[in-house]
Amino acid sequence: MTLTLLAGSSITAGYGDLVAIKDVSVDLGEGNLLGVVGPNGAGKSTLLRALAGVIPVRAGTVSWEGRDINALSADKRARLGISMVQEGRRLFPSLSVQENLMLGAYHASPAERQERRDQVVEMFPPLGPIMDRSASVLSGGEQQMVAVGRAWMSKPRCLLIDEPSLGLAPIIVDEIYKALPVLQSAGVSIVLVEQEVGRVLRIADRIVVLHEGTVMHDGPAEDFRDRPDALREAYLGIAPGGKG
Amino acid sequence: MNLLLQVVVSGTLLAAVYYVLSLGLNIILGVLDIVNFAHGAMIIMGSYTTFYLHRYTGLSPWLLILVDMVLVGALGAVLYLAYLRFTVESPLVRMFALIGFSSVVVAAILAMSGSNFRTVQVGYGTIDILGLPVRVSQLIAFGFALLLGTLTILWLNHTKVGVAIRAVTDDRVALRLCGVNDQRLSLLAFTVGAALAGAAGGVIATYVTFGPDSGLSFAIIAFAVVILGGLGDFAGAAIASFIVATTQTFVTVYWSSALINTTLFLLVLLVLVLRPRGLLGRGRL
Amino acid sequence: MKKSPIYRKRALALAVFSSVGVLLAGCGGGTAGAGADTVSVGLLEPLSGPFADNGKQARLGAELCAKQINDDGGIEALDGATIELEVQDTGAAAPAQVANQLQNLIQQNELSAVIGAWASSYTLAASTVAEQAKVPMVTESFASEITARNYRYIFKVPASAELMGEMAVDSVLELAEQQQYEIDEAAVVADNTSAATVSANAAADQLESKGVNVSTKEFFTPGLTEGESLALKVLSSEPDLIFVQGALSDMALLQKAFRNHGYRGPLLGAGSGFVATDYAKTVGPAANGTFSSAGWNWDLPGEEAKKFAEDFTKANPEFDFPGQEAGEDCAAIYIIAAALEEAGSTDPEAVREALSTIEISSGPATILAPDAVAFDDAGNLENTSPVIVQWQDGQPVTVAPEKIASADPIPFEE
Ligand SMILES: Nc1ncnc2c1ncn2[C@@H]1O[C@H](COP(=O)(O)OP(=O)(O)OP(=O)(O)O)[C@@H](O)[C@H]1O
Ligand SMILES: [Mg+2]
Repeated sequence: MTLTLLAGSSITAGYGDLVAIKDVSVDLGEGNLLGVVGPNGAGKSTLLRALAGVIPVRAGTVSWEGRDINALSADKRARLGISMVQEGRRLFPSLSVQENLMLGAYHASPAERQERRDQVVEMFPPLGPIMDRSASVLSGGEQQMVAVGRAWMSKPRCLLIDEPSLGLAPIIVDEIYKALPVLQSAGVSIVLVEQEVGRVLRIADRIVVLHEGTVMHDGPAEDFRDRPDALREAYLGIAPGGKG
Repeated sequence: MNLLLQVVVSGTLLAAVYYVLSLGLNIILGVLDIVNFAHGAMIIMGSYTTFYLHRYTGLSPWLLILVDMVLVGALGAVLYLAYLRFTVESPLVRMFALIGFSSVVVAAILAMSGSNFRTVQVGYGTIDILGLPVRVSQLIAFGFALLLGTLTILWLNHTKVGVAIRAVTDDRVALRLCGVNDQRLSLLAFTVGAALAGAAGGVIATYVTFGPDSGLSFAIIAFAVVILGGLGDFAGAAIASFIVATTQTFVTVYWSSALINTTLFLLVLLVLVLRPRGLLGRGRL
Repeated sequence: MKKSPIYRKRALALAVFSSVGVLLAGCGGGTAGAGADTVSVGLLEPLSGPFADNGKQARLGAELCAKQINDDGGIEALDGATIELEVQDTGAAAPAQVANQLQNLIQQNELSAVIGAWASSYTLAASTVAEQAKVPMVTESFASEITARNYRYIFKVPASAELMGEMAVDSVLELAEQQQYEIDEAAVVADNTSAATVSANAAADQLESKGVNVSTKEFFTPGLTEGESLALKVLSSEPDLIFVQGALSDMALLQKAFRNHGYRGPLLGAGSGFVATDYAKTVGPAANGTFSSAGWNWDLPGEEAKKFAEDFTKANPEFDFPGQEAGEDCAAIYIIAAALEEAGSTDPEAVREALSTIEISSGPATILAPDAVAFDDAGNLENTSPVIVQWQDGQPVTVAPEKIASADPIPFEE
């Protein structure tokens, strides 16, 4: 058994009157990659936001290394080592690529910042020549690289990534996905949210299926690794042929 | 020809003062995206601080600019903590809070100091530049503009705090996810903006006569400069200050002083339509 | 700006009339018989807001002289009744609001007379209320419209704005001629508020009628952020005389800029700013030599004026001399006191009657009109003359007309 780094136990969260996730429990083991899949509106992003502290939980507990962190704000959780790449990249358009990255390592020393910046360029070579470009003019792929790179800059112990493949050409998605095992081997635990299960199954250790705000399945990714259609069919109702 | 030269020289010196007037607003409006209806009040607080401290301590008005910054900055911080931080989601409430603050300041000055107009006499005399009489105090004000402008630009572009402040209005959530306390940054930026407005008040105290409600005309200039230069673009604002000051001087001398505000208004309108991101096209929308 | 003619007076009067009509329905009007131990006199002045300094002078002058009268045994004909001032601050209200303020003042007090309201626009509005309530009003405002409406209850102590403007120009030209300083070319600079524009245009007309060429007329928007460019423009026509009119802050900026660009010639101002007690302090050294007209000045000849100036500075040591309004309102109080003696009643109707026929040839009331105090049928004080003052070493001194001048003007310089 691996140690649990980040966990949500029976958490409920939502917006206004809307309850987006209800009684959801997830468990991220140290060094693991947890895939979270589910259809549109299932509550995947909401789950990540609750874990990162962007929205509060209404019931249940978010814990970090066994400690209850419900009361910690997002910026405090970030300083613990929880880093999140939001859906849609969410770069700072007023800033250059370089400045976006640097902000990721806000609390690091200048030397560390420089070192990690170089690591990001190593991980995503296309960023090298465009460091001084404004983030507002980047292509979608470049944006995603900067977003992942920025999250990496804080030297997180845990990375929450929300739909990195959204709106990107497959070849670019490949490039992003190549980086994930590298991060994992550097000791980062990852929660990866996607709608498309195929890619996730290939790299995940564990897989959680969310549907209408609740957990439909939680188990080792191996079980479905070679047959994503079975997972789709069982839980997502979108298998070839469809369900009755 | 001599007149033309005078127009250019006094326009340039004036531009420096206008640039100082715009700095604080450029942070609060341009960077923090708070339409600061209290900019004029902050300026005039600086002016009165200089006036009274100069009167009672005899310290140099230029030195007192530092005190203005501390005092007005501190008041800005209190305003932010006590009220503005609760209004992030409601610009309308914020607008009224700032207008209210402004009228409280004006009323307080009126109560404490009366409606008398105040002047800080700086007697450094004049020197000749290109054969034209130029007040030494104007040159010092010019120096202050360069200094404060340069420091502000360096701070915002080359320190991590400054860079983070520029990101606050882009995406507060993303900033929090970088481990940054966005509220504390907003507070800091607002405080610095207020302090710079206070500094501007100290600078203008040395060359104009002011009353409790004199802040408005200077705030109008500051708004024009910030919009022309592009929100949050400090280099653009420098160019805009020069354009506003020389336009004002040219319109007065060769046309009519009654048309200054109209001309400024048209200029701002023109730039808003043709270059919505300001003269250099780098401002925030 | 101050004591200025108002241009929408008809519309305003109409508005005031209609609102006052409603208000008056329930109001009796105060009539107290002889033998009352106090007499109430209203004092409606701007004591806060932008004109507070002027209103304050008015109040200090009125209070000082009411106290003197009371200390001297009060109103004899009323068994020594003392004068009590009912003070109302107009603030920076709109004229129609000032009319309402006077309405309330009249309703809540049994006023025998009222003094006010400094700004001509205020007085025009308030006097309509006084007329309807049949309470005599003595005003220190300048505008000639105030007494041009056939009102029976208004009495105006200073000379008209027009006369002041004319006389100021004439006097400065005369003084210049005496010193062989030639004035061929003049410039007129004023803010573009209606009051300033009118007096500037009147000055320009007067200058031109005296053969002076007015090549630059400049009307700026009040609230200048710099004075250099305006100074450059005005001085480019090389004037020998500059007429200025506007708010004190703008004037200070301009005058400094004129001096900075080498102008040493005479400046002629109009409007209350130029006779405000803190004018010299505000403008600094550039104030020296500026001419202005005034309704009254503290250094006028005669024992009474001298005594008043001394009493005033003793009672209010923060001032070096009493301002124009202090003298005007002190005289107003003495005039009302004389009318009360004459009427032998606190009834405002009787006081009005007495005011319209009064003739005072001695005592403090004569600091305004040295020959004799009397009102003409329209309510204008007869024999009153504007004075022309020049700022010398931080004080306004009277330099014209010659028979009341207390000092020679500073030598004219090119
Ligand atoms: N900011 C918000 N305010 C109100 N409701 C929201 C907000 N964000 C999400 N929701 C609602 O919460 C529910 C869950 O949304 P969530 O974004 O978590 O789904 P998701 O699984 O991430 O979907 P997708 O795959 O489309 O990103 C949806 O019904 C959505 O409409
Ligand atoms: Mg989502």
